[in-house]
Amino acid sequence: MTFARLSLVVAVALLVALALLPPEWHLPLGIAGWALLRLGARDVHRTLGRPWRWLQALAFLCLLGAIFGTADSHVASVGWSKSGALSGATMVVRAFALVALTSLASSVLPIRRWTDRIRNPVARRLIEVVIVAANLVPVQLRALSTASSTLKERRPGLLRLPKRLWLLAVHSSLRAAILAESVAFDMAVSAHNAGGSRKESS
Amino acid sequence: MKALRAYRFWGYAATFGALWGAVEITAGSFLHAIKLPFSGVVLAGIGAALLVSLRTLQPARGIVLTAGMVCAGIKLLSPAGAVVGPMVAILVESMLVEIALAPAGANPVSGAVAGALASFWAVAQKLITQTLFYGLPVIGIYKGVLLQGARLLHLPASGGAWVAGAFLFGVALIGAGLGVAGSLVGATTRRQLAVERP
Repeated sequence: MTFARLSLVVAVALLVALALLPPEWHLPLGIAGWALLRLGARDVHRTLGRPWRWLQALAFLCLLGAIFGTADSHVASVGWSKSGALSGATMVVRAFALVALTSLASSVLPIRRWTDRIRNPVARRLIEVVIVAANLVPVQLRALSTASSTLKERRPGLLRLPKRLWLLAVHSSLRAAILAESVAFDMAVSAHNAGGSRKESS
Repeated sequence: MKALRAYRFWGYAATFGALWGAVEITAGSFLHAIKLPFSGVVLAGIGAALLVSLRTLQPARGIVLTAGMVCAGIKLLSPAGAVVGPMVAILVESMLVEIALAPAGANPVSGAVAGALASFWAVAQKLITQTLFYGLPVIGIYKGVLLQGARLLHLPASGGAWVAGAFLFGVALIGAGLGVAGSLVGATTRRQLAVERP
């Protein structure tokens, strides 16, 4: 079974179980669903979040539910809410099922094929610009990192942090503006050349 | 000349969109790594500052929204797992900044409004996403936290409205401060560009 099918089956089964079964069953079922996806799909950690984060969310929501829910149980003469803690577990299992469904939807949608079909000139230009910008991200990342290290060397210390941040912001903005001018010039030249070659061919 | 101006529009949208993407990667990972509370609010404020700075350098209508679309497109092309949430955040924040800067262009006042709106959206999106994924009990938990906060701070009984108000005021202050900073960065950059290109 593929990851897409497996996540669909697990997510739907979990949502149905949440609706039909009593709250005591929700956490064991959620753990079973998570384990199934973990073992059945290798890249599960990438799209469904880290296991540690789910565990944190579970502990946090159960604790909040136990504290702020209706006090229906007593441990060491302190009143706490068992139903609240169980509803915390239900919330996490529901969230896990929905995340599995949405990650399935985003992985199945043929976004690249849709963008290839777009013929509107403004939308096409936007797509071209996105591709140019995606290639510029590593350049900007390197520039940010170099500027940050240089500023740290020249103006060390925590007290100079605000000034460093200000200089980094101005430097990044200035660099982006200069880069924008050269990108605009390149686009104008390539459009001019494309126009010239079209005339020659006709 | 007119054509070059149009290309400049796309060029600025591309480089500032890419810069926003780079900032999201560096500052985003750093803020999440140090587990800073409300890192989403700070990131939204930084994004708004960048857009205000862009609008100061290129006072063209629609450029902020275009840069937002470029940044969202970069996010879509990135191999990262969760892209829908950040993409929605980037698009809505750029739309809010565009609306805030539309009447009077980029200046410290409109920059502050733009930053505050973007930061508010970061909070609102978190609440909406949590309600969608975890269900309505989340609202009950937040209500409980607000009531507990009001009790701890000995505030007058208002159903937690004072605590919520103070929290939102803090969010607005962070966003507005970053928006003003963005406007000042834009103005300084414009002066520097004029010196380099007399």
